[in-house]
Amino acid sequence: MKEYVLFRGCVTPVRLPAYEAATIAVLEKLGINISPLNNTNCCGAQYIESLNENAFLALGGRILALAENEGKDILAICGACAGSLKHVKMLLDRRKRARADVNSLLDRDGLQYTRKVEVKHLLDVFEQDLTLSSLESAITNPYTNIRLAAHYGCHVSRPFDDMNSTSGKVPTIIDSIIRVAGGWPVKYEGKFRCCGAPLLAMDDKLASKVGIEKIRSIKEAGAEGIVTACAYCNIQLSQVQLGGRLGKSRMPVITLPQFLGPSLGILDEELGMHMNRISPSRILESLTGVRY
Amino acid sequence: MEETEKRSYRGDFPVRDEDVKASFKYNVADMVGGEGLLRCLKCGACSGGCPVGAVIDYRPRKVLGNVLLGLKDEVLSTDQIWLCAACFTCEERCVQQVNFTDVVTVLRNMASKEGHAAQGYVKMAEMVRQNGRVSARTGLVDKMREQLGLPPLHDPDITQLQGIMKAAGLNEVLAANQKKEVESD
Repeated sequence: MKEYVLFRGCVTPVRLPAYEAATIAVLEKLGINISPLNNTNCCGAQYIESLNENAFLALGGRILALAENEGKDILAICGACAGSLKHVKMLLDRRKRARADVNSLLDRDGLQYTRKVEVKHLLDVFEQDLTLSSLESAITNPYTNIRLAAHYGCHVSRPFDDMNSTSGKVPTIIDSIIRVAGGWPVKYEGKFRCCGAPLLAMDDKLASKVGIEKIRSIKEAGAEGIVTACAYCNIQLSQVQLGGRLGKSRMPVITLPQFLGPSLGILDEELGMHMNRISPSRILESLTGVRY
Repeated sequence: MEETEKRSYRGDFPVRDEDVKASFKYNVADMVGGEGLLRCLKCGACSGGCPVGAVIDYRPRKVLGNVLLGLKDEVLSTDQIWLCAACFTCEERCVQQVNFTDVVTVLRNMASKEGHAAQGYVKMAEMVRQNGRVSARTGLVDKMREQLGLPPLHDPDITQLQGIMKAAGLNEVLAANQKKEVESD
């Protein structure tokens, strides 16, 4: 059985704990063992990275080293965390001097990074450790007649290369999972465009504008909900709809494991459905079969 | 699309000889992440796909042009390097592998050293330095986690973390940017 330590990050466990719970419930159901990675810090993505790259490499290196102590690969479910840990790993693996510098900072606390640990995002686990056919056979309550928009998240999927399991093409895994679970993935303009969240620290009005453009385009395509794979994207695409600039009808935003969970027969409470800021009932009503 | 806003970074002024630092582009290209800069053809593929450029008047090509021209002060002390969302769309489109996002990270590091970091970024980085994370846990969070059957959150070993960040040089950078705040008051 494949095992991972879950790097929760800063935002997910505090602002979107339902994503964390749903990830664990869904992966355990599919035969992947998840244990928490404790004593972790912020990965330093964006803020520390922009101010001081050395500190950024040290913070990322510390997380990688903590996981090596556990002897398991890292699963990260936030785009910023997964993207930055992969980036730090790539830099430290390629550059001996940077690695030595980081290790000298970690050394006094008895930590070392030796290049062994791998970093996976949730989507990599679906691409690499699971198959769509095994997923299909685990589905007990398929969705029907529901049109959903996949939002991949920039730091989850870019660059479109092997590091992010896309082998140079645009990612399709969320769309495939929507289809396997019985939903209809919709095409929409600007599908791989940013949600605007990284601009929040700079200019929140600008960040909202970018997010609202995305929601408008998804609405135009006739989708009834959005499926995400990043805590930041999920929070951003929900909160831009609460500002009143898009009218009264709100489109539910749901994380991938929250979407998949009910179709695998997992209880809504376990998936934290009631904690979503926009009720996902429109999506859940389209489930078929006997539930509970 | 909403009406575009004017931003100071457009640099609608005559470029003067004394504003041009010819060595600037080489300094940037010498840094890890900045290597791609000198390959830029200024074709504009980056600007065409920019999600920020879709809602305001923001053009990555213009930023690269300013760096290549040597407008060091203009680049390092204005918003232009801080408005990038780091979405990597331009990196994906670039035919020359300039890696604009990485170049921007190099420029932000340079600007921060000089005390020109964007205040929103300084605030978030300060939070990481103090607590080791960007979102504080509250009683409500503990309750939500308990309800979901998740283990309680523990703060990381903060003395250990602060030691690492200090040794990496974060404190000097934060201090350089705090000073600026006091001066502008």
